This record gives sequence, structure tokens and C-alpha cells, in this order.
Amino acid sequence: MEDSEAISRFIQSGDLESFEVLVRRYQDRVFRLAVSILGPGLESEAEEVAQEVFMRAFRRIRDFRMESRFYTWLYRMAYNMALDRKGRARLRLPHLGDDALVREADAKPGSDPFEAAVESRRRAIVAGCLAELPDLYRAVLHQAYWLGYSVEEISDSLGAPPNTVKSYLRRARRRLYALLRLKGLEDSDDLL
Amino acid sequence: MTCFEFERRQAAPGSPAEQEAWTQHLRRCPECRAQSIAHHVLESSLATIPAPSVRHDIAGAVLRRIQAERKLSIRPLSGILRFAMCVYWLCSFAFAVYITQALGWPITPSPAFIRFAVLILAPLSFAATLWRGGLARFVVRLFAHGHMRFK
Repeated sequence: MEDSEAISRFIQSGDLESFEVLVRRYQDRVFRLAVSILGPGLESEAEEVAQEVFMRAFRRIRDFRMESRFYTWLYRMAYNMALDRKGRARLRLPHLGDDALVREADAKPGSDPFEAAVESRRRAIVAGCLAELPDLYRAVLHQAYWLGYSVEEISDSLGAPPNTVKSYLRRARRRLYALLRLKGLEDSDDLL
Repeated sequence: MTCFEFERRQAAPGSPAEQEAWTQHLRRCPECRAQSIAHHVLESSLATIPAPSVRHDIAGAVLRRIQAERKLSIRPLSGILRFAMCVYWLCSFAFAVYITQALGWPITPSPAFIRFAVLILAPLSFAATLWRGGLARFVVRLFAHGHMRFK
């Protein structure tokens, strides 16, 4: 069933199965987008955002004009709601977020304590730099490196052409590098 | 090696000759060096965190919330009833204006008028507000929303 057909059927007859088709079709993409904006450690918040996005879509589906794609409409809601949730989560849970990077380093058993401390500090710096990136760049880096998505998959999730995604990735890496240099984790050849 | 070729082969430079060309390019080109360092930092940090997966059935939770919301919500008025409601409110408003005009303001209502208002107008107004929509729906939604996540 096409999106437009499912939407028309749902609006006309209130057929919940049509709406279910839409939710099942887009739930992973919406979750992926939300989690890439919220970052590691906030997965359950991302699930809640995904739920809220579909509830809002359910309440406002009559406002949806068929001029754009349904996912583009969902994407805008998901992006804004995830940013909003991230702001609130920072206030409520200041210890969460990119600190998951540091926890990951601390969790490795049997490693040399000195190396573990160095690695932990290094990850803390990387987490700090990631937190300073613009939301869109951080989301793109999370999708590419943490979630392991290809350029095509990120393009699908963000609703942007692949070349634009490549450009975002390049700019995000360049900004990250500049921030790493500022914080003293840079240029050494052992990074290469 | 150009920047374009470098970017294409960044993930896996193949033969030793390619590896050498890759290293040479890195030394010459600050932009590719920056890209490569950031790439390796991300590979050794972000990429080591396990990728998340959806733990709850999002679609199931959404559908349960929709069904609960539908049960709680009151069906909207049909066209004729909506028209009747508008006529009723207009008549009430006109009647109120007429009384204010006829008796002057402030008025001291007679016991007969108070009886009429209490027995007829007040229950009718109350029913009109609660019946099928308006305030009732708003109140129900307000209290129902917080309790329906992942249930």
C-alpha cells in the first residue's frame, strides 16, 4: 500500500490498519534519526520521541498536504522533537549523553590501568568535541560511525541527497579535527 | 594521488604502492590529513559503542495509545446537531442581551426567573458543554496522556 493510499484511507474511514502500515514502515527510520540526535545513552528517550512523533502525526494527519513525501513531514517533526527532548534530557540527566564513550573505555576488563586512564581521557575529549558540533553534523557522525550506516542510508534517514550527506560528513570531520586540535588531541602520527 | 582518489581509498588503501602514495598524499595535503585523523578518532571511539536497537515495539505502543485515546475521546457532533447547538447558543446570547436591555443593569432577578434559570437553562448549558466534545474532551486528554506510554 502506497503512503498516499494509506493516508487517504485513514483520513476517510479512520481505518487504524492503514495507519499501522505507516508506523511500521517508518518506525525504524524515525528511531534512527532520533537516536542519532540524542546520542549514546539516550536510546529509551529516542524510543519515546519516536512514539510521540507518530502520536502527533495521528492527531495532525489531516493537516498533511500530499504535496511533499510523508517521511519528509515525519522527519521534520522527529528532528524538532528530538532536539527539544535533548535539551530537556540535558537538564534532567546531565550525566548522560556522549559520556557513554567514556563508560565504554572504563568497562574494558583486564587492561592496564594507566592505558585505561589515558584512553578514558581521550574518549572524554572526543565526547566533549562531539558535543560542541552543530546538531546536524553530530547526527550525521553518529549515524555514520556509531550506527554504522552507509551514505545512502543516512541520505534516506535525513531525506537529503547522498552528495549533500558526503559534504556534511566532510565538514563535520573537519570541524571535529579543529576542535580536537584546540583541546590538545591532534596531529600526532599515532592517530593515523 | 588526488584528494578525490584519497577519499575513495581512505577506508582501505590496497597494495604497498598505493599505501605509499596514500602516506605521501597525507603529508602534503592538510585537508586530507584532517579528514583522516578525524576519521580514525571516530573509528576508535564512536564506532566501538554497540549500536542501539529498538527495545520496545514502537508500533504496538503507538496503536495501543491511539486505541485508548479513541476510547476516551468523544465523537464530534454531526452537522445537524452542530447547527442546533449554534442556534441554541445564539438564542441564549440574544435572550441574555434582551434581559439586560429590558431590565437594565445591574438587575435583581425575580424568584421566578431564578427558578427558570436553575431548572432549565443551567442544566441545558451544562449538558451542552459536556455532551460530545468541548471541555470534556480537553479534560480527558489532559489527564489521560501521561499514563499511556509503553503500556
